[in-house]
Amino acid sequence: MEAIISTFTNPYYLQVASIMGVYMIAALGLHLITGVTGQFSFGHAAFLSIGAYTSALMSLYLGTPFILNLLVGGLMAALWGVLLGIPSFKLTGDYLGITTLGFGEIVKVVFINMKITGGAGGLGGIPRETNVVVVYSIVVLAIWGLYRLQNSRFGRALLAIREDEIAAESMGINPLLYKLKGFALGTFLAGVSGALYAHLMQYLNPADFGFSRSFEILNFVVLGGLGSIPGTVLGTSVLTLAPEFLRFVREYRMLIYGALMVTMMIFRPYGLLGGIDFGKMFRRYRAQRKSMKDKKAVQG
Amino acid sequence: MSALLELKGMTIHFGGLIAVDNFDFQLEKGQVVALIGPNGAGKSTVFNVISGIYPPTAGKVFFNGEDITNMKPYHIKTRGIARTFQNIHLFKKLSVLDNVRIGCHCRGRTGVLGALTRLPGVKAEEKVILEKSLEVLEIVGLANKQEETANNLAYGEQRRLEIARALAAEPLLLLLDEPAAGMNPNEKKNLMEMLKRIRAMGITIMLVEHDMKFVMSISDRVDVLNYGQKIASGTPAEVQNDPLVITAYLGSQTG
Repeated sequence: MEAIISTFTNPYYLQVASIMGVYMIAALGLHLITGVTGQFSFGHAAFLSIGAYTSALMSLYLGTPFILNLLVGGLMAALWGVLLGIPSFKLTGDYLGITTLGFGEIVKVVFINMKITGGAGGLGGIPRETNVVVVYSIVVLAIWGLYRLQNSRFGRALLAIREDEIAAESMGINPLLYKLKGFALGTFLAGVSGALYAHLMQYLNPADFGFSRSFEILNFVVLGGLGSIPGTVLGTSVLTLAPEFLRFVREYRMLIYGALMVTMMIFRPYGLLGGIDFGKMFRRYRAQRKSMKDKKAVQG
Repeated sequence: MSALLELKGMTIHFGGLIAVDNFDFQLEKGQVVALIGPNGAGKSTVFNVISGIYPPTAGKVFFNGEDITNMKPYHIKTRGIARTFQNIHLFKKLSVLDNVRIGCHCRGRTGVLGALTRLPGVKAEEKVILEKSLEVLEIVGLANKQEETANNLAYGEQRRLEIARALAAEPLLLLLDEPAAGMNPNEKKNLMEMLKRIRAMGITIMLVEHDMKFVMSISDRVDVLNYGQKIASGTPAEVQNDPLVITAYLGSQTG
């Protein structure tokens, strides 16, 4: 399959498309935490790195199949998500933002100082298993799963917590439990994304998973529109492609990128697709068409 | 017959302030009981303790014969106590229908796996939730606004949506915190009709309200709080003529 695709396009485009998909999976995870449940996490990259190192070490030392490594990478990230989430969510307010910020730095320092991860020199020689087909299959699977979650009793409970925690609690929702479940699912996706990243880049360095990477992923979600899946996908696409398209202006590209962000936030503070509900638009359109038809039937 | 709700010596201190002092209260099934009193008398605090938002400093709360003191709000809700808020607490950015669906939360069971697989049982549960939601929206007269975002509703409609959301969980006891606040006379009349219908469904109602005409025409019994203490209890007519109550509201006559 990949061979067929690569005959149409060059490896550079494929690489950019794969990276974009990998970030999309991470951003979709953060979308569930921040966009749906309303909890700010500033350490998303740390969960990527946990998934990345776990799966890379499994590939290098155990030789286990790629799919299993992806899964275990995701589960490991989710496990740390739960361990961090339990104490953070017990406090009321936005403490998760602070603890995730600290957690991100700790994880980075741990990976720099561990021998098995290659320390600051990084971990190389990871087999290249990730390709554009695998990445986008998982992107589609993640989007499908998130749509189903959001339109269920579980997803509505998460939305209720985002909107009004006191009211949610009075509706019979246990906020601690639901925040934890949402956070575990979101960090699971981050772990899977990290595992894909490791087997795409074939080299890992703790410095790649610092605060700036976490912030970048948060940007994807916020720029696209908090709480919107199409928004998250669009935000990730725009912000990963923009630096590539801006390569011709070289040293000015980060300047333009920054200006783009500022303009965005002034003109669309809720993000590109913030506040736009395609499902609702579709239902309205259908209802309108139906009433038009009914009218015609009466007249005819 | 034993009481549906019973408060025994309930006391709440906020730092040095005694918000509610040694409050005894009983509510029989099927009754409509109002709690009135001047501003700051501790009425909403009583609600917050019953619904589990504040733990009481002392005293006990019994519901349906079970001790629910210190239980979390989400456990109390499951036992059958639903409430509305004085300062509206809707899920503002969600649709009217979703607000009510969330009200059904404690009557459902679907978790993450159910949401992903959408097995027949999950679909059936969603159908029950939808039917129940439409039913309660019909009761409060918001069925034609189900797709509207809660934030875009008029003030009176938002109050009615709060009631619908509370009703969705099929509660035994409905706590209404100033349901008529900010409503015009016409809306109040509609609200009264609505409460009578809810009562006919067999739901017990406890309400806090400032509008005396409203309280007097709907309640079986009225309890009066002043500075955290119960100063009177009885039928609307008895309470209206109680000298202590008149003093609390109008002040005592001097000279």
